[in-house]
Amino acid sequence: MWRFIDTDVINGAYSCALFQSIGHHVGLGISDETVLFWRVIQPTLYVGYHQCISDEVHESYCRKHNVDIIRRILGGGCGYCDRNQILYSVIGKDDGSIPRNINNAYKKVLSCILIALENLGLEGELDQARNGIFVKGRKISGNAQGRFDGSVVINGSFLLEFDFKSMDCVLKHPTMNLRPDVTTAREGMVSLSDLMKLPGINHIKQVLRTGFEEGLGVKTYEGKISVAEELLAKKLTRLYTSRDWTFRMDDKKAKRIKRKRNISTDL
Amino acid sequence: MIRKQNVLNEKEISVQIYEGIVIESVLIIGENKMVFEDYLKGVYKSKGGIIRSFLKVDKGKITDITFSGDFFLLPEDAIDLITQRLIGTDTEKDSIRYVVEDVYETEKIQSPGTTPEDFTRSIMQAIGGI
Repeated sequence: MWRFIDTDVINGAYSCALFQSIGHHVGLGISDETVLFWRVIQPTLYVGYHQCISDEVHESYCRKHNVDIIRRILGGGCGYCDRNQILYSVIGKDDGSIPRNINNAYKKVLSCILIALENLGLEGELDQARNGIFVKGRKISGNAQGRFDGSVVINGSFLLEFDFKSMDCVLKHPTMNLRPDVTTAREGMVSLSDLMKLPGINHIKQVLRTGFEEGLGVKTYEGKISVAEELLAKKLTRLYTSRDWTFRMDDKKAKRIKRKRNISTDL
Repeated sequence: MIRKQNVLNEKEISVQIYEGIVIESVLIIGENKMVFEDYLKGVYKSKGGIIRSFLKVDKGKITDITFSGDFFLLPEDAIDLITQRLIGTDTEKDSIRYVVEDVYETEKIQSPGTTPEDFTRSIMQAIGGI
C-alpha cells in the first residue's frame, strides 16, 4: 500500500525540500512509497539541475513580479507554475515497482495521467522524447525524473489553467520543450480549462489519485508527513532558498571568467 | 532565426538558431573577442535536451570545462565526474567520446535521449570555433 499526501498550497522551495526528504526516507525504507500532490502558493519557476539561470530566465522580471526561482535536484528544463496546476511527485523505492529503466519508469508513471485523462473523457498521448503528456498535440503535463538515496522520484505538472503571458515574460525560450513547429507557448500547450468545463479541484485530484492507483497497480491510504521527513525538509528548504544553490551553475561560469581576468591582470 | 542575448554579464554574443539538430553557433562580436579568447562555447541539441559546453583549450588539450542545459543524467551529479575526466583530454573527437563513454560505463549513467556522442558534439562545436 502506498501513502497519499496532498499538502495543497505550499512554497516552491519547501516543495523541492519535501520531495527530496520523502525520497530519502522512502529510499531508506523508513517511509512508505508515496504519491505527493501540491500546488505552489505563488508563481514559481522550477529550474533544472544543470541549467544556467542567465541562459534561461528573465531574472529582473521574476524579481519585479515576485516569481520564485527554485533549482531542483532533478535534471530537465524549466517549469513555470502558479496555483492553477496540480503538481505531483511519485516517490518509490529504487528496487520497487517502478522500473529501473528510465524510459519504462516514465511509461509506467505517465500511464497514470493517461488513465486520469480518460476518466475525464479525454484522450491523452505519451511523448516519450519530451517526457510529456499531450492532448490533441498540445502539452498538458511535463515531467522530470531523478534517483537518489535509494529512491526514484518522478515529478510532473497537470495544467488546470495556465498563465501563458507570464510564462512568456519569465522564460527566454518558452517553447523549448514543446513541439518543434510551434512559435508560442499558447500554441504548444493546453490546459484542462481549454478542453472542458473545469470540474472542482477536489474532483480532479481524486481522478488523478485513482489514475495513479490504477497505473501503478497499488492502493493508497491518506497519509501524513512524518516528523523526521518534516525536520529534514525544513533543513533542506534553507538550501533551496539559498543564493548559492540557485545560481550554482551561473557561479561556475562566472568563476571561470574571473579567473581569466585575473590572469590577464597578472600579465 | 537570429537571436541576440546577453551572456556572461554584459558581453553580447550573436547566436544563430536553426531548426533541427544544430542549435547555435557562437560568434564573438568586436571588442568582446579578447574576453572569450580561450573560452569556447558550444551548444548542441540532443533528443533529451540542450547541452551547452563552455571550455578552455591549451596546446591541444582541454584545460577547463563546464556543461549546462536541460538534459537529464542519472545520477545528475555524474556530470562532475565527466568534466573532471575531460580535463587534460586531447581535443580530438575520438578521445573526447572515449572519455565520456568510459565515465558512462563506470558510473552506469542513464540519460534518456542524450548520449556520449551528443556531449562530444557539443564540445567539438566549441572547439571548431577556435
